[in-house]
Amino acid sequence: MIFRQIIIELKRLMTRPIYLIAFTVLILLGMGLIYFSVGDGGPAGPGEFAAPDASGYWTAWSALLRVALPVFLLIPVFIGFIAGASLAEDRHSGYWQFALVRVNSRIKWVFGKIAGIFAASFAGTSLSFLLLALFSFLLYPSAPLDASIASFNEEFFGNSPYLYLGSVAVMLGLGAGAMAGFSCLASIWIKNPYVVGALPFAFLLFSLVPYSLTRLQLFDLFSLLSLQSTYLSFESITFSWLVYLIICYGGAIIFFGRESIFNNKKGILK
Amino acid sequence: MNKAIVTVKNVGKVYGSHWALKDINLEIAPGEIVGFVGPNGSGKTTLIKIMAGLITPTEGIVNVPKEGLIPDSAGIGLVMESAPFAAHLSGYKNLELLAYIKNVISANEIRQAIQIVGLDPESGKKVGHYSFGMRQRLALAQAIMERPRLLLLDEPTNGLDAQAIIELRDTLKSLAKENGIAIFLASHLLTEVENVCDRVLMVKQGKIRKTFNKSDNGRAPVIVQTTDASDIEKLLIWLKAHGLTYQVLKANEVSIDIDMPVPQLVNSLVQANVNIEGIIKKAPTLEEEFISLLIKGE
Repeated sequence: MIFRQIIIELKRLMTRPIYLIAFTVLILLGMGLIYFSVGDGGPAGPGEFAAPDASGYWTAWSALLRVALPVFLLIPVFIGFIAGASLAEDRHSGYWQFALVRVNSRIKWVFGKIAGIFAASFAGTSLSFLLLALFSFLLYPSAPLDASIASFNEEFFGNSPYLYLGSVAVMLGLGAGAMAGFSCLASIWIKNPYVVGALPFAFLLFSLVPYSLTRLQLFDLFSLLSLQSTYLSFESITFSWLVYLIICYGGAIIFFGRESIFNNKKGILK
Repeated sequence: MNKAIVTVKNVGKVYGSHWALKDINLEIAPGEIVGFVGPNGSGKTTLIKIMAGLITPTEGIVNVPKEGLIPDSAGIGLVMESAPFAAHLSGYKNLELLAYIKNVISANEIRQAIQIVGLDPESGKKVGHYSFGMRQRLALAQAIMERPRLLLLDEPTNGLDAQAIIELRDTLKSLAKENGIAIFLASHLLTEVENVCDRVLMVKQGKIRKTFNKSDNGRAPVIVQTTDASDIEKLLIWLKAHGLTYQVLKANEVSIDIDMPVPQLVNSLVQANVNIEGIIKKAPTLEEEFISLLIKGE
Protein backbone atom coordinates (compact mmCIF):
# COMPACT_ATOMS: atom_id res chain seq x y z
CA MET A 1 0.00 0.00 0.00
CA ILE A 2 2.89 2.38 0.71
CA PHE A 3 4.20 1.82 -2.81
CA ARG A 4 0.78 2.74 -4.19
CA GLN A 5 0.71 5.84 -2.00
CA ILE A 6 4.08 6.88 -3.45
CA ILE A 7 2.72 6.46 -6.98
CA ILE A 8 -0.37 8.50 -6.05
CA GLU A 9 1.76 11.28 -4.60
CA LEU A 10 4.01 11.31 -7.66
CA LYS A 11 0.96 11.62 -9.91
CA ARG A 12 -0.67 14.30 -7.76
CA LEU A 13 2.47 16.41 -7.42
CA MET A 14 4.15 15.99 -10.78
CA THR A 15 1.00 16.73 -12.77
CA ARG A 16 0.39 20.00 -10.94
CA PRO A 17 0.62 22.99 -13.26
CA ILE A 18 2.94 24.82 -10.85
CA TYR A 19 5.28 21.81 -10.75
CA LEU A 20 5.28 21.46 -14.53
CA ILE A 21 5.80 25.20 -15.04
CA ALA A 22 8.68 25.36 -12.53
CA PHE A 23 10.23 22.24 -14.03
CA THR A 24 9.92 23.53 -17.61
CA VAL A 25 11.13 27.05 -16.83
CA LEU A 26 14.19 25.80 -14.98
CA ILE A 27 15.04 23.30 -17.70
CA LEU A 28 14.70 26.03 -20.33
CA LEU A 29 16.86 28.34 -18.22
CA GLY A 30 19.52 25.64 -17.97
CA MET A 31 19.33 24.94 -21.69
CA GLY A 32 19.57 28.65 -22.42
CA LEU A 33 22.66 28.99 -20.24
CA ILE A 34 24.28 25.95 -21.82
CA TYR A 35 23.47 27.08 -25.35
CA PHE A 36 24.07 30.83 -25.22
CA SER A 37 26.87 31.16 -22.70
CA VAL A 38 29.33 28.80 -24.26
CA GLY A 39 30.03 30.69 -27.44
CA ASP A 40 31.10 28.86 -30.58
CA GLY A 41 32.56 25.81 -28.92
CA GLY A 42 36.12 26.93 -29.49
CA PRO A 43 38.51 28.50 -27.01
CA ALA A 44 36.83 30.95 -24.67
CA GLY A 45 36.69 34.51 -25.97
CA PRO A 46 37.04 37.62 -23.83
CA GLY A 47 33.27 38.27 -23.54
CA GLU A 48 32.25 34.75 -22.73
CA PHE A 49 30.48 33.77 -19.56
CA ALA A 50 32.98 31.37 -18.09
CA ALA A 51 36.24 29.69 -18.81
CA PRO A 52 36.34 26.42 -20.70
CA ASP A 53 37.87 23.36 -19.15
CA ALA A 54 41.59 22.72 -18.80
CA SER A 55 41.91 21.44 -22.33
CA GLY A 56 41.09 24.94 -23.52
CA TYR A 57 37.85 23.94 -25.28
CA TRP A 58 34.24 23.80 -24.28
CA THR A 59 33.02 20.27 -23.80
CA ALA A 60 29.67 18.82 -22.77
CA TRP A 61 31.10 18.45 -19.26
CA SER A 62 32.23 22.04 -18.90
CA ALA A 63 28.96 23.40 -20.32
CA LEU A 64 26.91 21.25 -17.98
CA LEU A 65 28.90 21.51 -14.78
CA ARG A 66 30.24 25.02 -15.08
CA VAL A 67 27.66 27.15 -16.85
CA ALA A 68 24.43 25.43 -15.79
CA LEU A 69 25.51 25.10 -12.16
CA PRO A 70 23.25 27.90 -10.79
CA VAL A 71 20.24 26.08 -12.20
CA PHE A 72 21.14 23.01 -10.19
CA LEU A 73 20.87 25.11 -7.06
CA LEU A 74 17.49 26.52 -8.04
CA ILE A 75 15.87 23.26 -9.15
CA PRO A 76 15.99 21.50 -5.75
CA VAL A 77 14.70 24.64 -4.05
CA PHE A 78 11.71 25.06 -6.35
CA ILE A 79 10.91 21.36 -6.52
CA GLY A 80 11.32 21.19 -2.74
CA PHE A 81 9.00 24.20 -2.47
CA ILE A 82 6.19 22.47 -4.34
CA ALA A 83 6.60 18.98 -2.92
CA GLY A 84 7.25 20.12 0.63
CA ALA A 85 4.09 22.19 0.76
CA SER A 86 1.98 19.15 -0.07
CA LEU A 87 1.67 17.91 3.50
CA ALA A 88 0.58 21.34 4.73
CA GLU A 89 -1.87 21.60 1.83
CA ASP A 90 -3.46 18.24 2.64
CA ARG A 91 -3.72 19.21 6.27
CA HIS A 92 -5.19 22.60 5.34
CA SER A 93 -7.73 21.21 2.85
CA GLY A 94 -8.72 18.07 4.74
CA TYR A 95 -7.71 15.73 1.87
CA TRP A 96 -5.87 13.57 4.42
CA GLN A 97 -9.23 12.46 5.81
CA PHE A 98 -10.23 10.83 2.50
CA ALA A 99 -6.92 9.01 2.38
CA LEU A 100 -6.81 8.02 6.04
CA VAL A 101 -10.19 6.24 6.06
CA ARG A 102 -8.78 4.04 3.32
CA VAL A 103 -5.33 3.46 4.80
CA ASN A 104 -6.70 2.93 8.33
CA SER A 105 -3.37 3.73 9.97
CA ARG A 106 -2.10 7.22 10.60
CA ILE A 107 1.55 6.16 10.67
CA LYS A 108 1.21 4.20 7.42
CA TRP A 109 -0.51 7.12 5.75
CA VAL A 110 2.06 9.67 6.93
CA PHE A 111 4.91 7.36 5.92
CA GLY A 112 3.42 6.83 2.45
CA LYS A 113 2.75 10.54 2.03
CA ILE A 114 6.25 11.55 3.06
CA ALA A 115 7.84 8.84 0.93
CA GLY A 116 5.80 10.19 -1.99
CA ILE A 117 6.95 13.76 -1.32
CA PHE A 118 10.56 12.60 -1.21
CA ALA A 119 10.11 10.55 -4.40
CA ALA A 120 8.53 13.50 -6.24
CA SER A 121 11.28 15.93 -5.22
CA PHE A 122 14.05 13.40 -5.88
CA ALA A 123 12.67 12.33 -9.26
CA GLY A 124 11.98 15.86 -10.51
CA THR A 125 15.41 17.16 -9.58
CA SER A 126 17.44 14.18 -10.78
CA LEU A 127 15.47 14.05 -13.99
CA SER A 128 16.05 17.74 -14.69
CA PHE A 129 19.80 17.31 -14.20
CA LEU A 130 19.90 14.29 -16.50
CA LEU A 131 17.84 16.13 -19.13
CA LEU A 132 20.27 19.04 -19.09
CA ALA A 133 23.16 16.59 -19.26
CA LEU A 134 21.58 14.98 -22.31
CA PHE A 135 21.12 18.41 -23.89
CA SER A 136 24.72 19.31 -23.22
CA PHE A 137 26.05 16.03 -24.58
CA LEU A 138 23.95 16.41 -27.75
CA LEU A 139 25.31 19.92 -28.27
CA TYR A 140 28.99 19.64 -27.41
CA PRO A 141 31.75 17.04 -27.74
CA SER A 142 31.86 14.57 -24.87
CA ALA A 143 35.55 14.77 -24.09
CA PRO A 144 36.88 12.96 -20.99
CA LEU A 145 35.80 14.44 -17.67
CA ASP A 146 38.47 16.93 -16.73
CA ALA A 147 39.48 17.13 -13.09
CA SER A 148 39.16 20.92 -13.23
CA ILE A 149 35.50 20.61 -14.19
CA ALA A 150 34.37 18.02 -11.69
CA SER A 151 32.95 19.71 -8.64
CA PHE A 152 33.78 16.65 -6.58
CA ASN A 153 37.45 15.90 -6.42
CA GLU A 154 37.26 12.23 -5.59
CA GLU A 155 39.72 10.56 -7.92
CA PHE A 156 37.66 7.58 -8.94
CA PHE A 157 35.19 9.84 -10.74
CA GLY A 158 37.91 10.64 -13.28
CA ASN A 159 37.84 7.04 -14.48
CA SER A 160 34.05 6.71 -14.30
CA PRO A 161 32.53 9.89 -15.72
CA TYR A 162 29.04 8.42 -16.07
CA LEU A 163 29.14 7.23 -12.49
CA TYR A 164 29.97 10.84 -11.68
CA LEU A 165 26.96 12.01 -13.69
CA GLY A 166 24.67 9.56 -11.90
CA SER A 167 26.13 10.46 -8.51
CA VAL A 168 25.53 14.16 -9.04
CA ALA A 169 21.95 13.42 -10.13
CA VAL A 170 21.40 11.35 -6.97
CA MET A 171 23.03 13.97 -4.76
CA LEU A 172 20.90 16.76 -6.21
CA GLY A 173 17.80 14.57 -5.75
CA LEU A 174 18.74 13.98 -2.12
CA GLY A 175 19.20 17.73 -1.67
CA ALA A 176 15.74 18.43 -3.07
CA GLY A 177 14.35 15.67 -0.87
CA ALA A 178 16.02 17.23 2.17
CA MET A 179 14.54 20.63 1.36
CA ALA A 180 11.08 19.13 0.91
CA GLY A 181 11.63 17.28 4.20
CA PHE A 182 12.45 20.56 5.92
CA SER A 183 9.07 21.87 4.71
CA CYS A 184 7.34 18.70 5.91
CA LEU A 185 8.85 19.11 9.35
CA ALA A 186 7.91 22.79 9.43
CA SER A 187 4.31 21.83 8.53
CA ILE A 188 3.95 20.63 12.12
CA TRP A 189 4.08 24.22 13.33
CA ILE A 190 3.09 26.21 10.28
CA LYS A 191 -0.10 25.39 8.45
CA ASN A 192 0.08 27.89 5.61
CA PRO A 193 1.31 25.90 2.58
CA TYR A 194 2.97 28.94 0.95
CA VAL A 195 5.00 29.79 4.03
CA VAL A 196 5.96 26.16 4.48
CA GLY A 197 6.84 25.82 0.81
CA ALA A 198 9.07 28.88 0.93
CA LEU A 199 11.19 27.39 3.67
CA PRO A 200 13.56 25.52 1.33
CA PHE A 201 14.96 28.95 0.43
CA ALA A 202 15.69 29.53 4.09
CA PHE A 203 17.01 26.00 4.36
CA LEU A 204 19.41 26.63 1.50
CA LEU A 205 20.68 29.81 3.11
CA PHE A 206 21.02 28.31 6.55
CA SER A 207 22.73 25.17 5.35
CA LEU A 208 25.07 26.60 2.72
CA VAL A 209 25.94 30.14 3.71
CA PRO A 210 27.49 29.26 7.08
CA TYR A 211 29.61 26.61 5.38
CA SER A 212 30.65 29.09 2.75
CA LEU A 213 31.48 31.79 5.23
CA THR A 214 33.53 29.52 7.42
CA ARG A 215 35.00 27.66 4.42
CA LEU A 216 34.68 24.26 5.99
CA GLN A 217 35.69 22.61 2.72
CA LEU A 218 32.08 21.80 2.01
CA PHE A 219 31.08 24.62 -0.26
CA ASP A 220 32.56 27.80 -1.53
CA LEU A 221 29.70 30.07 -2.46
CA PHE A 222 32.05 32.83 -3.50
CA SER A 223 33.65 30.55 -6.05
CA LEU A 224 30.27 29.44 -7.25
CA LEU A 225 29.07 32.98 -7.89
CA SER A 226 32.19 33.75 -9.89
CA LEU A 227 31.73 30.45 -11.75
CA GLN A 228 35.28 29.42 -10.98
CA SER A 229 36.29 25.89 -10.12
CA THR A 230 34.68 24.73 -6.93
CA TYR A 231 35.69 21.61 -5.13
CA LEU A 232 33.26 19.88 -2.88
CA SER A 233 33.50 16.73 -0.91
CA PHE A 234 30.94 14.33 -2.35
CA GLU A 235 30.86 12.27 0.83
CA SER A 236 30.37 15.32 3.06
CA ILE A 237 27.56 16.77 0.98
CA THR A 238 25.79 13.43 0.64
CA PHE A 239 26.25 12.74 4.32
CA SER A 240 24.81 16.18 5.18
CA TRP A 241 21.76 15.56 3.02
CA LEU A 242 21.23 12.14 4.56
CA VAL A 243 21.38 13.61 8.06
CA TYR A 244 18.83 16.25 7.07
CA LEU A 245 16.65 13.59 5.46
CA ILE A 246 16.64 11.41 8.55
CA ILE A 247 15.97 14.30 10.94
CA CYS A 248 13.32 16.03 8.82
CA TYR A 249 11.39 13.00 7.60
CA GLY A 250 11.82 11.10 10.85
CA GLY A 251 10.56 14.08 12.84
CA ALA A 252 7.64 14.60 10.46
CA ILE A 253 6.61 10.93 10.71
CA ILE A 254 6.83 10.94 14.51
CA PHE A 255 4.90 14.18 14.95
CA PHE A 256 2.30 13.65 12.22
CA GLY A 257 1.76 10.14 13.52
CA ARG A 258 0.13 11.80 16.53
CA GLU A 259 -3.50 12.67 15.97
CA SER A 260 -3.29 15.92 17.90
CA ILE A 261 -1.21 17.47 15.11
CA PHE A 262 -3.84 16.92 12.42
CA ASN A 263 -6.73 17.89 14.61
CA ASN A 264 -5.11 21.14 15.62
CA LYS A 265 -6.79 23.15 12.88
CA LYS A 266 -4.85 26.35 13.27
CA GLY A 267 -1.35 25.02 13.62
CA ILE A 268 0.92 26.80 16.03
CA LEU A 269 1.50 29.58 13.54
CA LYS A 270 -0.95 30.53 10.83
CA MET B 1 -33.89 -4.50 13.75
CA ASN B 2 -31.09 -6.28 11.90
CA LYS B 3 -27.90 -6.91 13.81
CA ALA B 4 -26.16 -3.58 14.29
CA ILE B 5 -23.06 -3.02 12.18
CA VAL B 6 -22.11 0.09 14.11
CA THR B 7 -21.88 0.13 17.87
CA VAL B 8 -20.86 3.16 19.87
CA LYS B 9 -20.72 2.52 23.62
CA ASN B 10 -20.26 5.20 26.28
CA VAL B 11 -18.06 7.25 24.00
CA GLY B 12 -16.62 10.51 25.27
CA LYS B 13 -14.02 12.92 23.98
CA VAL B 14 -12.32 15.57 26.03
CA TYR B 15 -10.27 18.51 24.73
CA GLY B 16 -8.36 20.02 27.60
CA SER B 17 -10.99 20.22 30.31
CA HIS B 18 -13.94 20.46 27.90
CA TRP B 19 -15.95 17.34 27.10
CA ALA B 20 -16.89 17.66 23.42
CA LEU B 21 -18.84 14.40 23.70
CA LYS B 22 -20.02 12.48 26.72
CA ASP B 23 -21.78 9.12 27.18
CA ILE B 24 -22.70 8.62 23.56
CA ASN B 25 -24.45 5.32 22.89
CA LEU B 26 -25.58 4.38 19.44
CA GLU B 27 -26.32 1.40 17.23
CA ILE B 28 -26.97 1.47 13.52
CA ALA B 29 -28.37 -1.45 11.54
CA PRO B 30 -27.59 -2.17 7.88
CA GLY B 31 -29.79 -0.06 5.61
CA GLU B 32 -30.70 2.36 8.39
CA ILE B 33 -30.28 6.10 7.98
CA VAL B 34 -29.60 7.88 11.25
CA GLY B 35 -29.50 11.64 11.55
CA PHE B 36 -27.53 13.68 14.02
CA VAL B 37 -28.62 17.25 14.67
CA GLY B 38 -27.51 19.86 17.14
CA PRO B 39 -26.29 23.42 17.39
CA ASN B 40 -22.78 24.44 16.32
CA GLY B 41 -20.11 23.03 18.61
CA SER B 42 -22.37 20.31 19.96
CA GLY B 43 -19.97 17.54 18.93
CA LYS B 44 -21.44 16.35 15.63
CA THR B 45 -18.19 16.46 13.64
CA THR B 46 -16.24 15.04 16.57
CA LEU B 47 -18.47 11.96 16.66
CA ILE B 48 -18.16 11.48 12.90
CA LYS B 49 -14.38 11.75 13.15
CA ILE B 50 -14.33 9.22 15.97
CA MET B 51 -16.46 6.79 13.97
CA ALA B 52 -14.22 7.32 10.92
CA GLY B 53 -11.13 6.55 13.00
CA LEU B 54 -9.67 10.02 12.44
CA ILE B 55 -9.55 10.68 16.17
CA THR B 56 -9.61 8.34 19.12
CA PRO B 57 -12.20 8.72 21.85
CA THR B 58 -11.07 9.56 25.37
CA GLU B 59 -13.38 6.85 26.68
CA GLY B 60 -15.75 4.26 25.32
CA ILE B 61 -15.75 1.73 22.51
CA VAL B 62 -16.51 2.16 18.83
CA ASN B 63 -17.11 -0.79 16.52
CA VAL B 64 -17.44 0.02 12.83
CA PRO B 65 -17.16 -2.18 9.72
CA LYS B 66 -13.54 -2.86 8.80
CA GLU B 67 -14.34 -3.93 5.27
CA GLY B 68 -16.84 -2.80 2.64
CA LEU B 69 -19.12 -4.90 0.45
CA ILE B 70 -16.14 -5.51 -1.86
CA PRO B 71 -13.42 -7.66 -0.19
CA ASP B 72 -10.46 -5.62 1.13
CA SER B 73 -12.22 -2.33 0.44
CA ALA B 74 -12.62 0.37 3.08
CA GLY B 75 -15.55 -0.26 5.43
CA ILE B 76 -16.33 3.43 5.76
CA GLY B 77 -17.13 6.12 3.22
CA LEU B 78 -16.65 9.66 4.45
CA VAL B 79 -17.96 13.02 3.29
CA MET B 80 -16.87 16.02 5.32
CA GLU B 81 -18.00 19.62 5.07
CA SER B 82 -15.31 20.54 2.58
CA ALA B 83 -14.60 18.57 -0.59
CA PRO B 84 -10.82 18.76 -0.88
CA PHE B 85 -9.82 17.42 -4.28
CA ALA B 86 -6.81 18.16 -6.47
CA ALA B 87 -7.97 21.17 -8.50
CA HIS B 88 -5.79 20.38 -11.53
CA LEU B 89 -7.26 16.91 -12.08
CA SER B 90 -10.66 15.87 -13.44
CA GLY B 91 -13.27 14.36 -11.14
CA TYR B 92 -12.59 10.88 -12.50
CA LYS B 93 -8.80 11.24 -12.10
CA ASN B 94 -9.21 12.39 -8.50
CA LEU B 95 -11.32 9.36 -7.67
CA GLU B 96 -9.01 7.05 -9.58
CA LEU B 97 -6.10 8.17 -7.38
CA LEU B 98 -8.06 7.64 -4.17
CA ALA B 99 -9.31 4.25 -5.37
CA TYR B 100 -5.71 3.25 -6.11
CA ILE B 101 -4.93 3.29 -2.35
CA LYS B 102 -6.97 0.10 -1.93
CA ASN B 103 -6.90 -0.90 -5.59
CA VAL B 104 -9.96 -3.13 -5.34
CA ILE B 105 -12.38 -1.49 -7.78
CA SER B 106 -12.33 -1.13 -11.54
CA ALA B 107 -12.49 2.01 -13.67
CA ASN B 108 -16.10 1.12 -14.51
CA GLU B 109 -17.05 1.07 -10.84
CA ILE B 110 -15.53 4.53 -10.40
CA ARG B 111 -17.53 5.78 -13.40
CA GLN B 112 -20.70 4.23 -11.98
CA ALA B 113 -20.22 6.06 -8.68
CA ILE B 114 -19.76 9.35 -10.53
CA GLN B 115 -22.91 8.69 -12.53
CA ILE B 116 -24.92 7.86 -9.42
CA VAL B 117 -24.27 11.34 -8.02
CA GLY B 118 -25.29 12.96 -11.29
CA LEU B 119 -21.89 13.92 -12.69
CA ASP B 120 -20.41 12.99 -16.06
CA PRO B 121 -17.54 10.51 -15.60
CA GLU B 122 -16.23 11.19 -19.10
CA SER B 123 -15.98 14.93 -18.56
CA GLY B 124 -12.41 16.15 -18.58
CA LYS B 125 -13.38 19.26 -16.65
CA LYS B 126 -10.87 20.01 -13.91
CA VAL B 127 -12.19 20.01 -10.35
CA GLY B 128 -10.84 23.55 -9.99
CA HIS B 129 -13.64 24.60 -12.36
CA TYR B 130 -16.34 22.66 -10.48
CA SER B 131 -19.03 24.52 -8.53
CA PHE B 132 -19.20 23.84 -4.80
CA GLY B 133 -22.24 21.62 -5.35
CA MET B 134 -20.39 19.55 -7.95
CA ARG B 135 -17.50 19.08 -5.53
CA GLN B 136 -19.93 17.89 -2.87
CA ARG B 137 -21.37 15.37 -5.32
CA LEU B 138 -17.88 14.21 -6.19
CA ALA B 139 -17.15 13.83 -2.48
CA LEU B 140 -20.20 11.60 -2.20
CA ALA B 141 -19.03 9.60 -5.23
CA GLN B 142 -15.62 9.02 -3.59
CA ALA B 143 -17.40 7.88 -0.43
CA ILE B 144 -19.63 5.33 -2.17
CA MET B 145 -17.35 4.10 -4.96
CA GLU B 146 -15.85 1.25 -2.93
CA ARG B 147 -19.26 0.16 -1.58
CA PRO B 148 -18.63 0.80 2.12
CA ARG B 149 -20.96 -0.68 4.72
CA LEU B 150 -21.13 2.61 6.58
CA LEU B 151 -21.43 6.08 5.12
CA LEU B 152 -20.55 9.02 7.35
CA LEU B 153 -21.82 12.34 6.06
CA ASP B 154 -21.02 15.66 7.71
CA GLU B 155 -23.19 18.44 6.27
CA PRO B 156 -23.39 16.81 2.83
CA THR B 157 -26.00 19.30 1.57
CA ASN B 158 -23.76 22.33 2.13
CA GLY B 159 -23.74 24.40 -1.03
CA LEU B 160 -26.24 22.21 -2.89
CA ASP B 161 -29.24 23.75 -4.65
CA ALA B 162 -32.80 22.50 -4.06
CA GLN B 163 -32.71 20.10 -7.02
CA ALA B 164 -29.38 18.65 -5.92
CA ILE B 165 -30.66 18.20 -2.35
CA ILE B 166 -33.67 16.23 -3.62
CA GLU B 167 -31.38 14.08 -5.79
CA LEU B 168 -29.01 13.50 -2.86
CA ARG B 169 -31.95 12.45 -0.69
CA ASP B 170 -33.09 9.91 -3.29
CA THR B 171 -29.53 8.66 -3.75
CA LEU B 172 -29.05 8.12 -0.01
CA LYS B 173 -32.39 6.35 0.35
CA SER B 174 -31.63 4.02 -2.54
CA LEU B 175 -28.10 3.31 -1.25
CA ALA B 176 -29.55 2.33 2.12
CA LYS B 177 -32.46 0.35 0.74
CA GLU B 178 -30.83 -1.43 -2.19
CA ASN B 179 -27.30 -1.94 -0.90
CA GLY B 180 -27.97 -2.13 2.82
CA ILE B 181 -25.50 0.66 3.52
CA ALA B 182 -25.88 2.19 6.98
CA ILE B 183 -25.81 5.97 6.82
CA PHE B 184 -24.99 8.40 9.59
CA LEU B 185 -25.79 11.95 8.65
CA ALA B 186 -25.07 15.20 10.47
CA SER B 187 -26.78 18.28 9.07
CA HIS B 188 -28.31 21.61 9.93
CA LEU B 189 -31.17 21.17 7.46
CA LEU B 190 -33.79 19.73 9.79
CA THR B 191 -36.42 19.18 7.08
CA GLU B 192 -33.95 17.22 4.99
CA VAL B 193 -32.78 15.17 7.93
CA GLU B 194 -36.40 14.42 8.82
CA ASN B 195 -37.18 13.43 5.22
CA VAL B 196 -34.25 11.13 4.72
CA CYS B 197 -33.57 9.61 8.15
CA ASP B 198 -35.31 6.75 9.93
CA ARG B 199 -34.13 8.05 13.27
CA VAL B 200 -32.66 11.35 14.40
CA LEU B 201 -30.47 11.92 17.44
CA MET B 202 -30.61 15.38 18.92
CA VAL B 203 -27.42 16.42 20.60
CA LYS B 204 -26.70 19.35 22.83
CA GLN B 205 -23.44 20.13 24.62
CA GLY B 206 -21.96 16.79 23.63
CA LYS B 207 -24.79 14.60 24.91
CA ILE B 208 -27.66 12.91 23.09
CA ARG B 209 -30.74 14.55 24.64
CA LYS B 210 -33.53 13.11 22.58
CA THR B 211 -34.23 10.61 19.82
CA PHE B 212 -36.74 11.47 17.14
CA ASN B 213 -38.12 8.24 15.73
CA LYS B 214 -40.25 8.24 12.61
CA SER B 215 -41.85 4.93 13.55
CA ASP B 216 -43.18 6.58 16.72
CA ASN B 217 -45.46 8.81 14.68
CA GLY B 218 -48.39 6.39 15.34
CA ARG B 219 -48.28 7.55 18.96
CA ALA B 220 -48.66 11.19 18.05
CA PRO B 221 -50.74 13.28 20.46
CA VAL B 222 -54.30 14.11 19.49
CA ILE B 223 -55.45 17.72 19.72
CA VAL B 224 -59.15 18.11 20.50
CA GLN B 225 -61.01 21.42 20.09
CA THR B 226 -64.34 21.67 21.88
CA THR B 227 -67.23 23.91 20.86
CA ASP B 228 -66.89 26.06 23.96
CA ALA B 229 -65.02 26.22 27.24
CA SER B 230 -67.75 24.39 29.19
CA ASP B 231 -67.15 21.26 27.12
CA ILE B 232 -63.56 21.29 28.21
CA GLU B 233 -64.73 20.45 31.73
CA LYS B 234 -66.57 17.37 30.44
CA LEU B 235 -63.53 16.40 28.40
CA LEU B 236 -61.15 16.73 31.35
CA ILE B 237 -63.43 14.62 33.54
CA TRP B 238 -63.46 11.93 30.85
CA LEU B 239 -59.66 12.08 30.50
CA LYS B 240 -59.12 11.79 34.24
CA ALA B 241 -61.56 8.89 34.41
CA HIS B 242 -59.50 7.06 31.80
CA GLY B 243 -56.17 7.96 33.38
CA LEU B 244 -54.85 9.71 30.29
CA THR B 245 -52.18 12.41 30.29
CA TYR B 246 -53.08 15.69 28.66
CA GLN B 247 -52.11 19.31 28.29
CA VAL B 248 -54.55 22.20 28.06
CA LEU B 249 -53.37 24.35 25.15
CA LYS B 250 -56.16 26.94 24.99
CA ALA B 251 -59.51 27.55 26.67
CA ASN B 252 -61.14 25.10 24.27
CA GLU B 253 -58.14 23.03 23.12
CA VAL B 254 -56.46 20.04 24.76
CA SER B 255 -53.57 17.89 23.61
CA ILE B 256 -54.04 14.25 24.64
CA ASP B 257 -51.38 11.56 24.74
CA ILE B 258 -53.43 8.61 23.57
CA ASP B 259 -52.87 5.43 21.59
CA MET B 260 -56.53 5.06 20.52
CA PRO B 261 -57.58 5.38 16.84
CA VAL B 262 -59.19 8.77 16.15
CA PRO B 263 -62.68 7.43 15.11
CA GLN B 264 -62.89 5.42 18.35
CA LEU B 265 -61.88 8.47 20.37
CA VAL B 266 -64.54 10.60 18.63
CA ASN B 267 -67.20 7.97 19.45
CA SER B 268 -66.16 7.86 23.09
CA LEU B 269 -66.22 11.64 23.42
CA VAL B 270 -69.64 11.90 21.76
CA GLN B 271 -70.96 9.31 24.22
CA ALA B 272 -69.50 11.45 27.04
CA ASN B 273 -71.51 14.43 25.67
CA VAL B 274 -68.43 16.42 24.69
CA ASN B 275 -69.21 18.71 21.76
CA ILE B 276 -66.23 18.47 19.41
CA GLU B 277 -65.39 21.38 17.10
CA GLY B 278 -62.33 19.74 15.61
CA ILE B 279 -59.85 16.94 16.14
CA ILE B 280 -56.37 16.43 14.73
CA LYS B 281 -53.67 13.83 15.21
CA LYS B 282 -50.29 15.33 14.43
CA ALA B 283 -46.83 14.22 15.38
CA PRO B 284 -44.45 17.05 16.20
CA THR B 285 -42.00 17.72 13.39
CA LEU B 286 -38.29 17.37 13.95
CA GLU B 287 -38.08 21.14 13.91
CA GLU B 288 -40.66 21.42 16.69
CA GLU B 289 -38.85 18.77 18.72
CA PHE B 290 -35.53 20.49 18.07
CA ILE B 291 -36.87 23.88 19.13
CA SER B 292 -38.41 22.40 22.27
CA LEU B 293 -35.07 20.82 23.11
CA LEU B 294 -32.86 23.78 22.39
CA ILE B 295 -35.00 26.72 23.37
CA LYS B 296 -37.32 25.31 25.97
CA GLY B 297 -34.75 22.77 27.16
CA GLU B 298 -37.35 19.98 27.27
